[in-house]
Amino acid sequence: MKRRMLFLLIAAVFLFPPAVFAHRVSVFAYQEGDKINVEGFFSDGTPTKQATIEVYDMNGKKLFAGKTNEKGTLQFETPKAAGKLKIVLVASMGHRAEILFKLRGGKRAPAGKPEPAQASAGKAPAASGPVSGISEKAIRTIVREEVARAIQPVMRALAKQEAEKISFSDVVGGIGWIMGLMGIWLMMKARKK
Amino acid sequence: MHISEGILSAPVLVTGALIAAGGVGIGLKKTPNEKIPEVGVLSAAFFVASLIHVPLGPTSVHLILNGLVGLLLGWAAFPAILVGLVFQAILFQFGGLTTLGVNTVTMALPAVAGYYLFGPAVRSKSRRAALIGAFLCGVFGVLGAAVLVAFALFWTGQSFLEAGKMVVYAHVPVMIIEGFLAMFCVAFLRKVKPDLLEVKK
Repeated sequence: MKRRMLFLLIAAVFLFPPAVFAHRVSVFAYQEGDKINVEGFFSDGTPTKQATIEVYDMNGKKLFAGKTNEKGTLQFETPKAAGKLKIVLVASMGHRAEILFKLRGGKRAPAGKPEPAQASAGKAPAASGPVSGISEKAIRTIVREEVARAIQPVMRALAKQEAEKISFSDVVGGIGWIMGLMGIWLMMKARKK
Repeated sequence: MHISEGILSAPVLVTGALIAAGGVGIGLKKTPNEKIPEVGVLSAAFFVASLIHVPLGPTSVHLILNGLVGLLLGWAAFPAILVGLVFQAILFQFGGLTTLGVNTVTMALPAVAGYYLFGPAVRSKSRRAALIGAFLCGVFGVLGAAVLVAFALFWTGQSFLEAGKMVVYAHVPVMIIEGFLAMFCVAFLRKVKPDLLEVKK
């Protein structure tokens, strides 16, 4: 009888659709022109509205702070720092996530960073005087922008997938672990007698 | 309801860990051998419950089941919830290992309190009193956890009123669902296995 009721309890829990897994926040970012887009969401896909975003450089200096909008996104100007940025998202009720975001242009000095599209498009012809009227550098910049824009949905999908990686085997495995621990506890108690 | 790593200050984390350790100690000591399987099963139920998402309210919330766990286990709710949280942290990245203590306290303390507050009603002869007690215990578990989370956030620096309101409002749907869940469980247990609840004859 007891066993049956316990089984029913677990079955009842399992009967709910396991489609949505809640309670973790994820944050991801991508560069678009001279802006960096940050987006946060709970792992069931709900955007993190009005969440605080803080951006630090690798020395821990705060470069930017702001709040996400109703869609859980935020845009800020690419800072002058080189290397990586630490982006921290703090959502309501004690949820927090952080990522390291690698600035495009890698470890080059800030001056060597690719310039924003409009700026380089304006300057480039004078600098290299190309036949077509558009410098190679400007084309590169434009292509880079376009590719970045094109792969945005992919980046998003990847980040979301990462967030939803709780698998059924994890769930079953966890239950197994708990049962195993219970067995060990019983065994230890039995030995004491 | 799980507080992530890197949110709380060190004193809050240490205090949480100490209280949790004490609670787990009492729970382990007080649990008779026959009750161990029940602790295991409820720990597993607690572990899985966090995956059941309630798509209501302003943010993402899920079932906790701590009221029910407390009602059935008493002090053993501490080890049961701690174990559930460990695996939620490892397998699902809910909460975190450093916040285990605090998270255990926020969820297990209201569970134990619920056991003492509503246990007598649930064990009483009157079926109506038992059902009302169970409902209130389910509600109280979530409410208590929400208040403790708010308190932990407040102690670290967030404004208590704002954080507290947010956490409590977000969990109102969960409170109601858990109230009914606890009620159904108690109704079922009273019919099928009254000695599990130690119902007075």
